[in-house]
Amino acid sequence: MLRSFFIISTLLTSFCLMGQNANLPAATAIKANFTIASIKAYQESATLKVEDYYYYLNLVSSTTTAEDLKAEVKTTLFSLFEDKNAKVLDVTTTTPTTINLTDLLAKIENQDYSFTLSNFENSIVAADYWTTKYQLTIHQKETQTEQICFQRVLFKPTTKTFGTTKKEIWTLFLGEITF
Amino acid sequence: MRQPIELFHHLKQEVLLTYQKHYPYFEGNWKTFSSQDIQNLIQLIETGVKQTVSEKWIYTHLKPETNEKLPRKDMLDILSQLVGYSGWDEYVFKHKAIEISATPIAKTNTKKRRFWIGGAVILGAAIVVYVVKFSKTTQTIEVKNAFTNAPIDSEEIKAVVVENQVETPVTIVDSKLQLPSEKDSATIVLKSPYYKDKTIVVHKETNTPIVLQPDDYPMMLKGFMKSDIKDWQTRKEQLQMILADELEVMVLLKDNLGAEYFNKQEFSERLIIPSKAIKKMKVVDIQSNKDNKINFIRIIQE
Repeated sequence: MLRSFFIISTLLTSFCLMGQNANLPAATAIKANFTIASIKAYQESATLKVEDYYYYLNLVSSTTTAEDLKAEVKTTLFSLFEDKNAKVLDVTTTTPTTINLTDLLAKIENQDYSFTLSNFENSIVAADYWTTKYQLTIHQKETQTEQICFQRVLFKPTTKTFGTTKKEIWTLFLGEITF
Repeated sequence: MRQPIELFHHLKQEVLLTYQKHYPYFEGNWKTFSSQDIQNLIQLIETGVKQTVSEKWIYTHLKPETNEKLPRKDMLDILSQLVGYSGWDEYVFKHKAIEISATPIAKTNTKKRRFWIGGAVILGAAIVVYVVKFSKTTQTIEVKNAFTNAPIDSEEIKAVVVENQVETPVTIVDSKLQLPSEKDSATIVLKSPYYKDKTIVVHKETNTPIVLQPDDYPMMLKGFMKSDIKDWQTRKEQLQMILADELEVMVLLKDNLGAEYFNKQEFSERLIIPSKAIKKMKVVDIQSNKDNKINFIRIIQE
């Protein structure tokens, strides 16, 4: 009797653990923690971060931005991303290609690129991210090119430090860009 | 017949609509058109019309709600081209043509016009009656900045009448408290993120302005949130001084459907290089620690 109880409970525990490995735990899944309306509000806020990203790229590429300011801008720009080596659109090429964010910043310096964004749309929500689609217009001197981008926006709990206190906070990060 | 200055005002609205097509998240008007919006518009004109407009020109001719003089013709041409015309001449011609073609239709609708005029007269009379009644029962008191003596923006103050420990919100219109004047006196508590709280007893006949003492650090923060990229180094040093290490910034999203949190470093970074997101933030509450440094900021994202 005791033996069969042990076998059944071991099997049940194993199935539960296997089930949890298959998906993200509910505590970190977006849909398990937020209503649809709430997710939409976060998605709108994330589009501002995408706009900020291109504004910072503009500053880095400007010939009129001082070097010390550029260093400051890069720090702020990196803080928008979860990974400073995320693959992003290489705005310097005519055919769509991706490049590491860090490499892109080095490549566009003093090239005077500017950007305009329009037609934001958000995809359905995955476990801990969604994809934001937008139309990007890249301006440099007389040339102008357009590209539809799909940028991953990660939304997950992270530990933030407020002085000596640490708190678990749901945070938005920009991620890789595909097209 | 419309005067050129009226047509220019019309053109300004069309420029705003054109701007909104490219920047759908802008929902304001010329008054709320930020320095970032100005930069975007300059860029839009450069790419769309291949012309250059200075920031100063936009401040002088587009930002003001009223314009006394018509701008130079070449500038009117640029704006007209931006909204889809060959130039100012075509813009004027097309809009005058619309007026002329509209006139005969108006004549055939005399009955309708009478109906509307009658309605407007009745509505006007109702407004006059309401205003007279309202002015009899409402006491207005202006709220001013103690240092500059300038009226404080209504959106920056909250006021409540306290009676038997019950707080009733007070309407503020054009920097003036609108108090019901039935009581001989009322205790009013004024709160603002940028000024020190004040509790005051107001008597029925009082109409002397209430002055609020500005709170230095929150006032500095207000200035930083509106600034452009200039003087970023000074701003960086001053932010270090006015923000507490334990600072917690809560940014409430649209319709209070969520919140983002920033610590001192994250929030400072966004103020040192003012971004689009910062321009959409409205501070509703600021709290300070015992050293007078700001340790909590509540913001609404507009």
